[in-house]
Amino acid sequence: MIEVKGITKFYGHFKALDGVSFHVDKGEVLGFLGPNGAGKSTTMKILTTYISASEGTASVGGHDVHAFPQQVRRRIGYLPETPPLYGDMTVEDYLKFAGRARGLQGAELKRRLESVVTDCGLRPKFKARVVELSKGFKQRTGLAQALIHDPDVLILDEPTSGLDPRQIIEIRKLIERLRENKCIIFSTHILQEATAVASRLVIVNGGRKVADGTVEQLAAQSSDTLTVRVLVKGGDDALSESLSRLDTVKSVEKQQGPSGYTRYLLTVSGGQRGSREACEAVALQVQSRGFLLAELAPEKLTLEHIFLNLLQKAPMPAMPAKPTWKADEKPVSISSTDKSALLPLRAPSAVPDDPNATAAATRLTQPATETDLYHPADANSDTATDMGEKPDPDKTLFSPRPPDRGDA
Amino acid sequence: MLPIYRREMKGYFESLMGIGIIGAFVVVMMMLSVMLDPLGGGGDWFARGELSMRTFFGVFPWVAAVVVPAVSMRLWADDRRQATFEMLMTLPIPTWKVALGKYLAGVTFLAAMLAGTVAYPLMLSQFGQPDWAPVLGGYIACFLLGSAFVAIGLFVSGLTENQALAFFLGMLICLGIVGMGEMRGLLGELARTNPESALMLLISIPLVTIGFLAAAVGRDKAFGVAIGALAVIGNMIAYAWSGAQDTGVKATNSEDIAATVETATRGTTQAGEIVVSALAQIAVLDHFSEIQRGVVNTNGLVFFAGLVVFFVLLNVWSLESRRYS
Repeated sequence: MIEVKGITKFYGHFKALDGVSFHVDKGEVLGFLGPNGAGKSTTMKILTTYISASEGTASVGGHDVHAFPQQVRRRIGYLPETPPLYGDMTVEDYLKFAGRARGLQGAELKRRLESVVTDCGLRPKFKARVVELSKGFKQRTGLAQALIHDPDVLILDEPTSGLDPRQIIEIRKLIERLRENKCIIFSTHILQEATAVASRLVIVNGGRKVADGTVEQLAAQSSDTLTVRVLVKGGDDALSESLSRLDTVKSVEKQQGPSGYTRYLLTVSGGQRGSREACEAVALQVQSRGFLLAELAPEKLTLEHIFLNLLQKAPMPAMPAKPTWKADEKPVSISSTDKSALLPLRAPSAVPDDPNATAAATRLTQPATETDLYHPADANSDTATDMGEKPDPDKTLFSPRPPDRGDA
Repeated sequence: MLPIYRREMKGYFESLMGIGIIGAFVVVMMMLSVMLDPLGGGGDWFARGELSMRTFFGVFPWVAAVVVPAVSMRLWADDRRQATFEMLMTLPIPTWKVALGKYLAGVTFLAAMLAGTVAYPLMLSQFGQPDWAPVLGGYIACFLLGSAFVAIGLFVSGLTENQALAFFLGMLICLGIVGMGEMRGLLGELARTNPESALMLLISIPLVTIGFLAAAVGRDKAFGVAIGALAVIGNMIAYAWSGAQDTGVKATNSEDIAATVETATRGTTQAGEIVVSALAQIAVLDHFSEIQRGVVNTNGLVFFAGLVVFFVLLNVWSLESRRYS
């Protein structure tokens, strides 16, 4: 349904996109992922015919975006990064305008209006003026505008940015409902976002595509270090010793568990597979030494790992050179309140031997459950997993990690 | 096109700004008409024993050159400032239709402004037997001139996301066009006495305008400054040259040079005259007053229609070209 072939876009001398290709089929939800400034919005603007590519071609529903922009626009529902709203109109008037502008009239317009107002939960604010709406309702109104003509293709640029946890879930559910007979692309720089909704991911960085595949496929490629948490009834130093001799285990940390229990934190190499093998071996070991295995919790490989891995591997031609940090010199520009934004950097893949980093990563990479994803800070998009919104993405994501900041 | 038009009309009339502009326009027009009328010669109404709308139509071009850009400044700039511009440019409506929808909304607002001033002739008609034909002609002329100004304002509004900038640029161009008639007299005089300067002035005014536009729009500041500087330097050279002719060149050396210089001078004088007469063709006020006098000829209509089409197309072109920048 959407076919992108080698598109490149120059803004003056700046190469914002560099030969990006991908395709999206009907019924597919493509998560378009990358740090800020990676070229996500540019790609979407080209697909919606807002701007034209410098090189390469793109087509939507078989129509070339350059040659047949009108046909493409008719099939697309587009939510730009900031919802395109007229503050002086009421939600009702605005949506009617959006519908009429796309050729809807009379009974059909009324029917579609009903439908999107219900879908987007706009009923309580139907008669309110747009300028008076909260950010969440503004976003929903923008989404309703993109849906009003029931397009085949939905292009959503960061549809959940700035929403609170409940609203995020609602938008996700909406996307779930819509996916059946549509083709949806949405961009985000929040990783959970992508895993929760997308059937496939395209990751871009510095204007280039660095990965394309399902979450599982991407995870399988990874050879990261992970953490396995083991709780044993009884347990002693000898067990700790023998666990550390296991094939894929790199290090073991023994901790005091609840009374009568001992906790072992294993750092395991070899990604998901290494972790699985380690778990099997651990179970055998514990049993053969006459202890009881109370808990065996392998850390799930999350997108953070994959993402950071890819970003580190990929060349970053578009990024201006930044001064590197000297040893034992703390970065000046990042205040202590922004530390959370630094956390993704401390994933074990970056510094496998740093125990502090591992601890931080453990916190980061708990199995992702719905409740877990939405601790209150999420609403401000200010969490550890918010990739690079804060304070300077260049510094947080792309500079070498400051060597001794073990205070997280 | 219709949805865009309706949306823009809502934008005008659902805010107090629209009503405010109409009110201010009506008040200013009436005040100026009454206050400036005695200056038209023959003392005030009572001394003349005659009521007329001559002053009303006389001041309209100048007032419109200020007020109409204030009306049209929001047409695109307001969208450019928000994400709605992105929406408009990705709707399945060709850009020329969107621009036309916005233009027609501006023209409708202009009509509402003019309709507001109908109170003035109605008031005058209480004191005598008015001749309605010239009044109607005057209103048609006002509408046509205003429509051209809306097109200019629409174009300028599409160049920037700053409404204030759109207003000042639009006002500058409109005032320039209205002032061209006055300037023509000066230029004619200048062309007789100092043809080189006149010619340079004629060339440099559009150059300065283009330079200013380019600089203001901010796409290429260096380009704008360069063109402006070129125009200024050209003027200075022309001035210096004509000065040299008066003092040095003719007095010295052979007669050949003197003859050459004289031929050149005659050539430039002719060129100056041609340009001046061409300027007469595009002098807005001439067409305006012709129609106002009741001479609704195709010449005038084509002139105003041409202005409108030119600037609306320029608007569409400038917006479309943004896709490739």
